[in-house]
Amino acid sequence: MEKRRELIKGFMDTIPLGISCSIYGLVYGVLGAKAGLSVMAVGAMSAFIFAGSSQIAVVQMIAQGGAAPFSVILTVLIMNLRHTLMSASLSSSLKKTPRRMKMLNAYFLTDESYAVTYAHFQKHEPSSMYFLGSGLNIYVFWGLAGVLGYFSGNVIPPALNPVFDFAFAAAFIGMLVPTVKDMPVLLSVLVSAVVSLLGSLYFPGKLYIIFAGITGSLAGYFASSMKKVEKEASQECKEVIEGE
Amino acid sequence: MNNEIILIIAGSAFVTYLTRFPFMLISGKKELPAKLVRFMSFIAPAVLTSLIIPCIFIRDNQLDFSLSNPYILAAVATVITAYFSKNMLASIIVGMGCVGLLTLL
Repeated sequence: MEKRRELIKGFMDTIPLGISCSIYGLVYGVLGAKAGLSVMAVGAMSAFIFAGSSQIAVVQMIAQGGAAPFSVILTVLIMNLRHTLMSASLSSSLKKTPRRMKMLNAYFLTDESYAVTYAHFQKHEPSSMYFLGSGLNIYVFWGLAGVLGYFSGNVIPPALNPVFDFAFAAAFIGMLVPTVKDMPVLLSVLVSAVVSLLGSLYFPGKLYIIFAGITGSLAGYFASSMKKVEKEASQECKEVIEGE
Repeated sequence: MNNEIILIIAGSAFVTYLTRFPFMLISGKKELPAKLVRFMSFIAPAVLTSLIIPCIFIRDNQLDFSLSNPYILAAVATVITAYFSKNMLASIIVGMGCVGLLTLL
């Protein structure tokens, strides 16, 4: 009984995020229809991949054509590496949870269910059922919205295609901008911008995404290392001066 | 669905799950190396940038920095909206609205 209550609570607490996800899911479905995918493909991606930004990237790469399956899959892998951080962060709260339940929890891990569950665990007894309920909420809202969007996508006139092509970029901009909080992230973005432009002109297929992703991340990493060294150095100076 | 799409979906599903479960099973006994965590924090911004920038500036396989490219103004408006609203949906609506106004009028 206790378990079921936690499951329902997780589901209910995630409804606001489920709704915002489903609006984004509508856009995903429309884009899938515009890219010429079948409704089966659009639904199967939500059921099996279940990662919003990756699914949109996959649709975009299919729509533009010329992307080898290997480079699409590699792009998805790189985009989802952030999930390793989230799952590591939640697993420390779920020490007593059986292995099987954790495997199930992992399948339903998203940015949204992570955010809701992490916040809940700060104030309440951590429960894997709560986490599962939260994940299931996003799964249902996201899946249904994608299929619904697909059918509305088919009735949108082709004259509006440039508008929907831009929806990809706009969605990604909406995700990117709030993450740019300091100089190292900004540098990472600038390096990735230059490399991706040059790469898309001179590299075959979609390889530029991987090149830009790695060089951009390295640039940010080294910039943040330098910042750290600077901080430590100034700290040492201070200590020396105070010591005297 | 053709075979290529099935391969893409199956492969993407596999690698996505691969990013989700291994660290879930490590029950907080081992922490990830701090340097790796710091490197990984830059992956999302860098990859998102590489998905956005060519989409805006490459038209017909060529760089297009001119103002006749409607995506540039629309992108500026989207960035401003995202910065102040921190809301993805608002950003999408403003961005799409701008492209609509610039191309259809």
